Amino acid sequence: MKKVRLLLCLAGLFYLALGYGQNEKFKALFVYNFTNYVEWPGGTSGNFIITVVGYSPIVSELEAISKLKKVGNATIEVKVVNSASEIGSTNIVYVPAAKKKSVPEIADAMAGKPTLVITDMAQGKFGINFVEVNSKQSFQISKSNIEEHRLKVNSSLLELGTVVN
Amino acid sequence: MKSNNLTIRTILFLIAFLIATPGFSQQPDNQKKMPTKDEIMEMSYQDLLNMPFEQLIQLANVVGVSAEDLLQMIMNKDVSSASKTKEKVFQSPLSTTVITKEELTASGVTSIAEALRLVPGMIVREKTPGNYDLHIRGNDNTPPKNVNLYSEDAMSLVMIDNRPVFNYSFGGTFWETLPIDLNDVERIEVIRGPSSALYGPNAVGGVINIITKHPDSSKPTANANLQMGTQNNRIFNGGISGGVGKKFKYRVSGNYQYKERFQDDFYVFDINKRMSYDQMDSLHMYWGNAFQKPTHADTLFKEKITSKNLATDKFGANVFLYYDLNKEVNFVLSAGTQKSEVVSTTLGNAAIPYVGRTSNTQYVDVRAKAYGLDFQTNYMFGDQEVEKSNPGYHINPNIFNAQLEYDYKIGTLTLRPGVSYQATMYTDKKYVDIDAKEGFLNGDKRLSGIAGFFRADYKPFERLRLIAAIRADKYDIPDKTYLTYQFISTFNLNENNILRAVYSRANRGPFIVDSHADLTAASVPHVLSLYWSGNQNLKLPVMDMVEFGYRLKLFGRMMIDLEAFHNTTKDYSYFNLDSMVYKVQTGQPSRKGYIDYRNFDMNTVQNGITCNISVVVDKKINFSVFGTYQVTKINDFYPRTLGFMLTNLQTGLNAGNPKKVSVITPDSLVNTTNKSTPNVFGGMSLSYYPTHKLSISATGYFYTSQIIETTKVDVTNNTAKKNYFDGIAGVPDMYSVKAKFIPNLKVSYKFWKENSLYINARNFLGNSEKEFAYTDQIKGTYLVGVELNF
Repeated sequence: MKKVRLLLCLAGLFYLALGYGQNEKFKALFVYNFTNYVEWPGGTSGNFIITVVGYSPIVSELEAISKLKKVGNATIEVKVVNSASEIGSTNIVYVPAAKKKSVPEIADAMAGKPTLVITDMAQGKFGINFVEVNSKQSFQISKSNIEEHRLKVNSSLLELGTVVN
Repeated sequence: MKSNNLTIRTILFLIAFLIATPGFSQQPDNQKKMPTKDEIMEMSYQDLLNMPFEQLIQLANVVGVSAEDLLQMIMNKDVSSASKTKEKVFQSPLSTTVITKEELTASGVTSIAEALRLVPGMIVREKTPGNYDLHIRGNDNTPPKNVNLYSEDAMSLVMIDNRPVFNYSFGGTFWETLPIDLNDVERIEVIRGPSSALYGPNAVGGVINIITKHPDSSKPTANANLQMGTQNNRIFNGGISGGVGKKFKYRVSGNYQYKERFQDDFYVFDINKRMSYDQMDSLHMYWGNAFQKPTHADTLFKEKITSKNLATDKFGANVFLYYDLNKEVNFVLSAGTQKSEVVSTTLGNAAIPYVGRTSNTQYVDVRAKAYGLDFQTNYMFGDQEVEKSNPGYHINPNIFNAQLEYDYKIGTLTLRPGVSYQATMYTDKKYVDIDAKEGFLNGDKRLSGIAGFFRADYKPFERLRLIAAIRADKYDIPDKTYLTYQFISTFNLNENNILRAVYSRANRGPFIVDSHADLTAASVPHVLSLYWSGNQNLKLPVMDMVEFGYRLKLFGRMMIDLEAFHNTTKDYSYFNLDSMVYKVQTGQPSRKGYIDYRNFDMNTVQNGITCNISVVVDKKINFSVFGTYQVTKINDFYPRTLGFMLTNLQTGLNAGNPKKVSVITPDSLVNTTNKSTPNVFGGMSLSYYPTHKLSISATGYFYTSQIIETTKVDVTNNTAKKNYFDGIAGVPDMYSVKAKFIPNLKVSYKFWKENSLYINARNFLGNSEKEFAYTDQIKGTYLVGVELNF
């Protein structure tokens, strides 16, 4: 009986652990700030949708921001999907590092759509990639990729990140 | 109200920031006017969202590394010992655990030995406060029913920056003689399983490699960690570091520890009770019905153990000099000294299990790396009394090592050939009358060995890694060459799943005492003398192991590390009674017993599994749980104590039957289970950082019960127990160490920048169970401390 209780306690501990959000505050703040420098075709009517692929602690941080801020006049809506095929119409797609292996299918699914794809890994397929430079949070930005998605990017954003092709 | 204050403070910071920032990117001095990390972390979302993006980026830079990367840092640390190249623990081909300096600080461990309670697969028992018995995976007390020496872990290699700090006189590690302390440690790397193909002799159970800190910059820094508490605990660590120019750096450190016992009495085997410090001097030597008081009995005990309270008293000082010519060429010179006195357990056969041990040693170590070549040489020397005031155990160690390796890469193939040389010389000539054979060495005694080794690491394709290591050690004593090897493969199922398989063979090296013992011991003056002799043709113990491992990353925040191992060890050597002679001569004892070192058929077979689960919840919480289950069989073991054999040979020994020889017949050998290694042992740790100023760390260590058998007991013949002192019947047949859980808690608060005040409670529930046979109760220790960093 003692062993059963111990196992239950451990299971409870893991459940709590997995349900506990990590502090992705600054990445979420960066994502919000990007919206000030990017222009979507037709503006941002309706809700401004940010889709996160797979579980990521950034979700709770983005939700916190959505309660405080709008993009233009649009309310921010945070969606979570499990795979590329579930991504519907969205303004931003966020790909956590844990979803690295899904990059090719996300690239295919998003090709040509007016969506800003932001990833948490250094790779060359998307508009903005979070990277760490000298233990500091930074981002790579690809003007050509953003424009392929029919978005316009303010040149001042390019000065804040590292421009890649 | 609090929120308003925070907003006002934030605005003030921003105003200061704005004033300071025109052209901030060209003016690094303005960093000084930035809000601190703590202040930024306390800012609200609203404040941060209202901030221009440029400023937000600046604040993010102050906060530093991203959370996701932090998870990787905490969970998947760098390790270099397992394959001799720097890689992530997750990719490590061997069963590997790394404890970082951050974990050492957070956990509140008070010594390097205690820190190993944070490592899966380690058995760590505190004999007396600050003095530990450590084993990797087990094989403790092998063979049972012999002297305490065989309870030491003589088959795990401990190193500081790849410099062995092994005790080649008797085998094992005297942990208090390490010149460094926690403050010097960058990380501790532990490899479980035989690894002598990579590290040389004695890396049989595994390797513990303690990597020291390297200054990050030439900027002068100083740190100190001071704690005091119950049992008169005083633990001081301090160091300064800096540099001249970009190429030359230095670090100087010092450490001191003092711990007292939880009791002031001592167990006496043959009366089966504890006696006070003063009573100990009144004991009489005993044999049969004869009592004899030892010469100088009033001072004898107090010379061995100089204080009834002392457990640990040690000091160390080190200097490290670094010269980095360029990325490819660098040199490190380190030198240090240590002085220690502890009350720990005896190595030999004695009336009580306690003995004082002193050590005063120095070392110098030089490492050089240039274009793939890796050279290291070191020398250690000093003065050690491994059993205080016993003339046979006062020795001067001299240990020299030199090693050269070369890394050669061709595509995905890395080749690493190397050679090494070791010479050890121990002498007791300063302290004994050699002609009278007062010592156990009686002069200069040497061992040396030269080795060649080769390691190949190849990735035929991205997911598969194959490693082969082979090493040949040529010893002078025994005059033999031993071949050891490791064959390792890892297969990445994907980036989150790795399978491992290891087959390896390792051997223990020769020890001075096995090879050169030359001791005359008057067990009962004028009645019986025992003569110990070394053996220069012993086969060295060899372990073969098969291991399978699986590592899994889940959810980007959990790592599970499983390892299943099977090992067999043969060619054990230990001493036993060979024969006894009866001869009446004036001034000579009538009975002379001859003890020698021999190989026995005994072998051990161990099967076990270790699991470690680490979870990084977020920047604020991480925890781990780990445990090992193992069973060890001892086969073909002669289950009799030296005392039994001594009695047996004396029976009927007289002028008509002047010589008797011990005969161990095959039918007297038994197969048994090693009860001295707990079946289950492990630990857990939980770190919680509710704010950037406050940290809470809870750790725990546990083991199930064990039974330790020494030569003092013989379950098959109780009459063999009447060896030494006032013989009273009733000595326990064997000592049972009860299961114990040891919880610890450290709460630390940063009162200014990186300077903290903390409370540190070790074994805080105060469970007083002894952790080792016949020794001290280990109760709770409660400390307060301060850590200063400038």
